[in-house]
Amino acid sequence: MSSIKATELTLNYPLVGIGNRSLKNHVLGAATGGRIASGEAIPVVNALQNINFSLKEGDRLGLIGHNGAGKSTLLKVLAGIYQPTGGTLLTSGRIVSTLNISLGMEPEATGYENIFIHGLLLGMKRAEIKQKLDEIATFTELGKYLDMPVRIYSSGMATRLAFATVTAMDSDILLMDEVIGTGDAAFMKKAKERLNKFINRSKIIVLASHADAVIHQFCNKALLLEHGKIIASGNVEDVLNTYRHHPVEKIT
Amino acid sequence: MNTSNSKQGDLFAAVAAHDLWSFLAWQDIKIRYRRSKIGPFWITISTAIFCVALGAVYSRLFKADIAELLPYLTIGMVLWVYISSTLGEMANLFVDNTAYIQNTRINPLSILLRAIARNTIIFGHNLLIVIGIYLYFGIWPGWNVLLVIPGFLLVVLNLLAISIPLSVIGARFRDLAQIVQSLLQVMFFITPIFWFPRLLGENSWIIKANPIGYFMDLVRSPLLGKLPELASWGASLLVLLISSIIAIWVYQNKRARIAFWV
Repeated sequence: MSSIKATELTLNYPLVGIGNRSLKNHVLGAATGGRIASGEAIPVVNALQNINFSLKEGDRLGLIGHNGAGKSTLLKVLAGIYQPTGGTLLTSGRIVSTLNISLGMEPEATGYENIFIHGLLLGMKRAEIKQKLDEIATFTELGKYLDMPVRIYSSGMATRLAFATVTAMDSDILLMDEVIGTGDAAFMKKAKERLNKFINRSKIIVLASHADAVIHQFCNKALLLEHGKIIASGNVEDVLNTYRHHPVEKIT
Repeated sequence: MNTSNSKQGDLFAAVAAHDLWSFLAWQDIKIRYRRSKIGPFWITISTAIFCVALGAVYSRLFKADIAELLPYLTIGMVLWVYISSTLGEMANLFVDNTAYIQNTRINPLSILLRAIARNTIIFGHNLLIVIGIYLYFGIWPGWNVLLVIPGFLLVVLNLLAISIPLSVIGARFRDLAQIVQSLLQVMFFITPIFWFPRLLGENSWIIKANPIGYFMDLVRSPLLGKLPELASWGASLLVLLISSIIAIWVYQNKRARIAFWV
């Protein structure tokens, strides 16, 4: 059974500035009682505060909120990239995050090698990738280019390769920051079908998006974030309504 | 159920996920071969030239027999290149891998094992110089050479344990890389690589306090057909114990911070 349960999830993000980056200064600062070269105190951003929710199989959660509301940060915590500084997060099932689909592209490696690298980074085993290799290769329509280094690819070709690899994954929990796409017009329809299949295969989805239509299309639940706190949650339509009528608070 | 705070099992998880780092390490090597036909053998050639030049000059300076100094110096250099390039890379390791750390759930120790694996493969290439030396001087090290296996393993474990705190602290303090580089430069001269410890006389603290000197003995002596000193085994195990304790402490407390620091 796949599930996510977040209890009082809190993330305080330390901003380590340039003044705090030197070990030499720290040692000097300690040795001289901080008179010569102490760095200033490290500011902390309260990126997420007391987030509570739980998801079970079949749940498709849309994250809504203004820029900087904490959507991407929450996704990164769910993905295991950031560890929460408070509260607990329990997840079960294979998590796939598509936060940056061009992740791990090695320009000197060939297309085929990049499929392996990307797949391994996403958590697949080598045998599993081998099994999917043909299907991925066919979908990209890159043919003999797959034997050439990715550095000679156009950006469109590179995106196709990354997109095909990511969407070949079987995930229990899928985390997406905006819907991934491929830009290429001729490729668009085919890509859309593949993306829908990929999303529908996943047992749980958490999707952050600014587009109401996207949230409507893929989600059956929604969560509104503002300054790292949950403002509203529940039914997609209700939460979107709250979002539209919710005044943006000034950050103090 | 997995919680997202599972740092205790990271080392076992990273070793278990050898699919990832071994593939990436081989990939690094493959790319070097693609850039030039002889790949990492460039390092082998430059190490070989360095050893022969240094051996020719120092055998005169120290009035030492070249047949004794050159094998000693070459094996020492090959191991030194391995140790210093591995440790030298660690302080910037996570900064160089920011893209991985910030975009996917990756075990930081997998990144570390990739670097160690890559350097070990290059070390394997450089062993060719040692074979060249054996052939040229007609050396047959005998069965003692087998001791190089546990000796080298102990050195690798030491490097792993030292690398963990170096890489984590290096993510937080960006000048650690420069500090490590300067230290390594000094270490090269005070470690018995191109000179014999006997030249310093008995009980020199420079030799006694330098862990890399013991690592040298563990690998070099068997390759020269001699037994490593008992003190080298003991000191290396002690260094491993101490650096493991530091590694565990640093990693347990700061692992969660790495993603914020890079």
